Amino acid sequence: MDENKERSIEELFEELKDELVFLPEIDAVRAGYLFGFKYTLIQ
Amino acid sequence: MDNLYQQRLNRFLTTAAHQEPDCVPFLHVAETWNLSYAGVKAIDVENDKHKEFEAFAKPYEVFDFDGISMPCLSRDVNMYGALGGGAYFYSSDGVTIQHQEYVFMKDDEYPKLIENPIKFAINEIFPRKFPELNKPYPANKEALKKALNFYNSYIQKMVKAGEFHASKQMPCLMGGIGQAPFDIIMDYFRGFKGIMTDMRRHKQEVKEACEALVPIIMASILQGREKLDAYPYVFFPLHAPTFLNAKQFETLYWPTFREILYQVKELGGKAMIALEGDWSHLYTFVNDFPEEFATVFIEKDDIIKAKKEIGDRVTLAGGIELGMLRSSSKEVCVDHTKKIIDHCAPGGGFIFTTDKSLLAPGDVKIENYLAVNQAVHKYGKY
Repeated sequence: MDENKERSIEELFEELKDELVFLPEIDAVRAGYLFGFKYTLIQ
Repeated sequence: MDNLYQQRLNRFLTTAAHQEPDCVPFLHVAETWNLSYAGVKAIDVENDKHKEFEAFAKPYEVFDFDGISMPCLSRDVNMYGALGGGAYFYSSDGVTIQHQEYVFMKDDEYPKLIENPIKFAINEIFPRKFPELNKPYPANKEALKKALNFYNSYIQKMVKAGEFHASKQMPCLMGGIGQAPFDIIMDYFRGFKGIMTDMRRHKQEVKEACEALVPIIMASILQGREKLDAYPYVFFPLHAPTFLNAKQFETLYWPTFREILYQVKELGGKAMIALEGDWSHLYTFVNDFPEEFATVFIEKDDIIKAKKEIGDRVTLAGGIELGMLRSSSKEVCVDHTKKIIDHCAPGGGFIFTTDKSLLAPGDVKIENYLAVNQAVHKYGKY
């Protein structure tokens, strides 16, 4: 993605998912972890 | 695990099975009060988890609890602060963590909430709630990353806190949080005033939004697991029902909350449910909670009456008001404790605790709380 392009908040979360290096590189695991983060931010 | 831990835990498990343990278990329900008791403030421990854990265990030096509800502070103020907002903040004196209601959703936005609750929250609510996310890229990403780092620390803290208290031989009964869909809409989207109006003007949409939230809430309870353990319990704090009449509760609140309770039961889990306020008009529904499943905190209801009306279906947790512990004499508190034990302890299904969580330093008079704690173990022997 263009370094200067503005990102939607969904895209920001997607980028963060790729940076969760302490988790295995399994999409479902990382998405599950981020779900917990998103849900906590809703509260 | 040592014998003392198991002995304490068995008291809860036995009474929750509606059998009589060796004595009535005493549950300590407290958060920031623990910090004050240890001589520190909430703000003092925000970057020192060891200090926070030690403070939470400080009462163990004097009190004889059988278990605690919460092993550490349940909210991380910094996580929300990193995004420039949120509903949680330190009190001006730094002693407690406070909550303020904000309303970020308009009443014509139910269709978007119903279609995809998480997507709606991220795309529509988060920009209104968290100013840092409106900054240009990459500043918005850096803010989100900072919040994520606080979240990572928070998750690690929760795990370590449970282990810490177990090492002190103290069971922690709550192992996760669940919520009712109606409360989610009220607490995080529409606010109290909004939902009370929406119940009348947007009834069908409120119902559909509740239904859309069920899988989200179940995913948050499961946290990637396929099954739940029977212990520790999933904790459900219930906010709206005390303000609803039986018909409103039956129509709007109960169907999806019931579905969640029965799904948790089906997956092997059990629940601690805070019946906040007065639930005496809703006992028909409590008697429809899954069997051998729930321990319920009693706040304003008459617990002796509750024992008769819902005590066969659920385990009751309660017995004394913070107001009595704060303002009455030691003798009055102990006499009241004995009376509650006389009525509620026979047959099990009863845990002695306070009607509310201890938060502020002056919530209870220490000598009263200690006298009641001792009375429960002395007088509450089976």
